Amino acid sequence: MTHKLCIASFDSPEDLLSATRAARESGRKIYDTYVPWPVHGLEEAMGVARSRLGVVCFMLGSLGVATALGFQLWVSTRSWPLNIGGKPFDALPALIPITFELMVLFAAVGTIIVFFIRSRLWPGAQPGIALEGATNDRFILALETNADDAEEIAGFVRDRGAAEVREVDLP
Amino acid sequence: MNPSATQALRPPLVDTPRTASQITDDICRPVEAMPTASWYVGFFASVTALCIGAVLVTHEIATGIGTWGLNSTVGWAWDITNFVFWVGIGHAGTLISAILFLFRQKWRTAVNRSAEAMTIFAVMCAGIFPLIHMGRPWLAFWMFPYPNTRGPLWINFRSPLVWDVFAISTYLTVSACFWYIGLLPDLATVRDRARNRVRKFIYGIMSFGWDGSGRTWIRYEMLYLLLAGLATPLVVSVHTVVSFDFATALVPGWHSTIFPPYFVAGAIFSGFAMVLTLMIIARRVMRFENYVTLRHLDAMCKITLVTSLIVALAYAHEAFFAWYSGNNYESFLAINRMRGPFAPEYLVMVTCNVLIPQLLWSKRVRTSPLIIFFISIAINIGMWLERFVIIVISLHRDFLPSSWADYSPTYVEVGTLLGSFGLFFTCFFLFCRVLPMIAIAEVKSVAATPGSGEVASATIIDATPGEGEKP
Repeated sequence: MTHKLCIASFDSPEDLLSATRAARESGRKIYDTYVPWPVHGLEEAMGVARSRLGVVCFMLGSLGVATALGFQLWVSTRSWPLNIGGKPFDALPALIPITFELMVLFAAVGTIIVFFIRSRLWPGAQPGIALEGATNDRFILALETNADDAEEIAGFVRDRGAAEVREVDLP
Repeated sequence: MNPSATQALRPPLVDTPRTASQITDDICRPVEAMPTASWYVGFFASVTALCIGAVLVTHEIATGIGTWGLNSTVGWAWDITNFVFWVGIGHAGTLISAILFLFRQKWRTAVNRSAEAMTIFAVMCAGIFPLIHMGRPWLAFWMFPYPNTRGPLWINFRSPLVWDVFAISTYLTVSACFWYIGLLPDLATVRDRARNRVRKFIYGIMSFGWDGSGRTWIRYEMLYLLLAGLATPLVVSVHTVVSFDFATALVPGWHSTIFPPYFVAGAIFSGFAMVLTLMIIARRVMRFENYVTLRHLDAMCKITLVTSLIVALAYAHEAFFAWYSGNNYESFLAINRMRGPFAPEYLVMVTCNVLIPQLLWSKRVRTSPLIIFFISIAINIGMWLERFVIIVISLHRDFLPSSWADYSPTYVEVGTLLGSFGLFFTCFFLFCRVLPMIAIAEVKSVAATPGSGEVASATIIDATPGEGEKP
C-alpha cells in the first residue's frame, strides 16, 4: 500500500533522468516528475507511453471537416439553394476554405480542451503538491513509498545525486 | 547533452551564460518591478491615441460611413487598407511560433511570446475595420450562419467575404489558444515567485494549477507540436483567403492568380518588420539585450530580406503581365499606378518595400539595431501603402470612365487608423507589464547553463547592482 511520496530534488536534468531511469529499472513506482522545462528523454526514462493526443486531434479535425462540409452542402443544396450566376449549388471548391478553417478550429480548440481535462488543469486548479523550485530550476522525482521502504528509497535517490530529499503525504 | 559541445557547434542563444534561475529572474523582473517612466509615457500616449480612435469610431457609427471619404466608385479605401495591413502584421507571430518551431529554429524562443502577442493584438485591430465598415456593426452577427426567422436564409458560403469571416475568427481563436498554452508554464513560474497574496491568487487562476508535472509536460509537448502543425497551414490560409476577397473580383489589378502567395509573402514581410520594430524597442526598454541578441535580429532581417524579394518579384510580375496579357484594362492600370494621381504612393511603396530592404544584404546593417529600426519603420509604411495602392488605385478608375472618381481620407479615417495603433500599443504595453515577455521555459531549455540557485542569485546581484531584489 502506498502511503507517502519520496520527493527527491536534483540540480540538473541529467541527474533526474538517470535517477528516474534507475528507479524504473529497479521496479520502483514513479509517481511523477516535476521539471521547469520539458526535459528531453523524460518520456522514455519514466516509461510513459506516447501521448495519444495526436489521435484525438485527427478525430476532431475529421469532425470539423464533416461538420463544415455537411452543413454547407445541406444549406446550399437542400435548405435554401441560392442561384448565384448560374453556378452549381454543390460547388465543392468554393466550400473548401471554410471546411479547412473549421477543421483547424475543431482540431486545435478540441485538442486543447482534451489536454486540459486529461491533465486536470483548469482555471483555479491547485497544484497537486507544493514544490519549491519546480517551475524555476529544480528537477524533482516523486517516488511512491510505504512505511517499510521509505528509508531505503531515500537512500536510493541520495546515492543518485539528489540534493534534497523529503517525504510528503500523497495528495 | 553536453553544453560545451553544443556551444562549439553553434553560437549560444544568450550572450552571457545564465543559469536557469537567473533566466527566471531576468525575465520576470519587468513583471514584478514597478513600471519605468518610459513605460508610463508610452502607455499614456497609446491610451490617448486609443481614446481619439474610440471617439471618432463612435462618431462614425452614430452618423454613418458618410463621415469617411468613400464614394460609390471607391467603396473600399482607408478602412480595408487598415484591415489588410493589420491582418498582415498578425502573420509573423504565428510564423515564428509555429513554422519556425517545426523547422526547429531554436532562436525563436526569445521572440515568439511577444510576436504571438503582437499577432493577437494586430488581428483584434484588423477585425475592427470590416466591423465598422458595415455601418451597422450591431448587426455583425448576420455574418454567421445562425437559424433565423427569414427562411432560414443562410449566408452565401460561396462568397470570399464569408470565408474571410471564418478565416479571421479561426485565426484569432487558434492564435490566442496557442499563445495561452505557451504561457501556462511561465504563469506558474510567476505564481510560484509571487510574494503577495493577490498576485499569487491571480496568477494561480491564470496558470490553471500547472505544477511542472513530467506527465503533463509530455502531453504538453505533443499538444504544442500538434498546434504548431495546425497553425502552420492556418497562417498561410488566412492571408490567402484575404487575397481571395480581391482575386475573385474582376477588377483589374485584383483579378490575379498570384495574389495568394503575393499576399502571404507580403504579410510575413510586414509582420517581421513590425516584430523588429517592437523587439528593438522592447529589448532596450526591458533590458533584454542578453536574450534578444544581435543574432536574433540578424536572423529576422534575413527573413525580411527574403520576403522583400518575393514582394519585389510580385510587383515585377504585375507589371509584366499587364503588358503580356495584352488586356487594355490591365495595362491601363499598370500605367495609372506609375503615372496616375496616386503615383507618389506607388513610388514610395516601391522604395520602402523593394529598395530600402536591400540594405539588409549587409551584415553590418543587419547587426545595428538603430538602422534596422528605421528600415522596419520604412517597411511598415511601405506595406500599408501597398494595400492602399492595390485597393484604391484599382477602384478609382474602373471600367466606365464616367464613374471615375478620386479619393482622399477624412480626419475620421486618419483618426481611426491612429486609434487602431493606440489599441495595438495599449495592449502591447499592458502585455509587457503583466506577462513574461519571453518564453521562460523555452529559453531555459535551449540556453540555461547548469548551476545551483544560490550561486545564481549571488551572481545576479553582482551583475546588476541595485535592481536585483524585489519585495
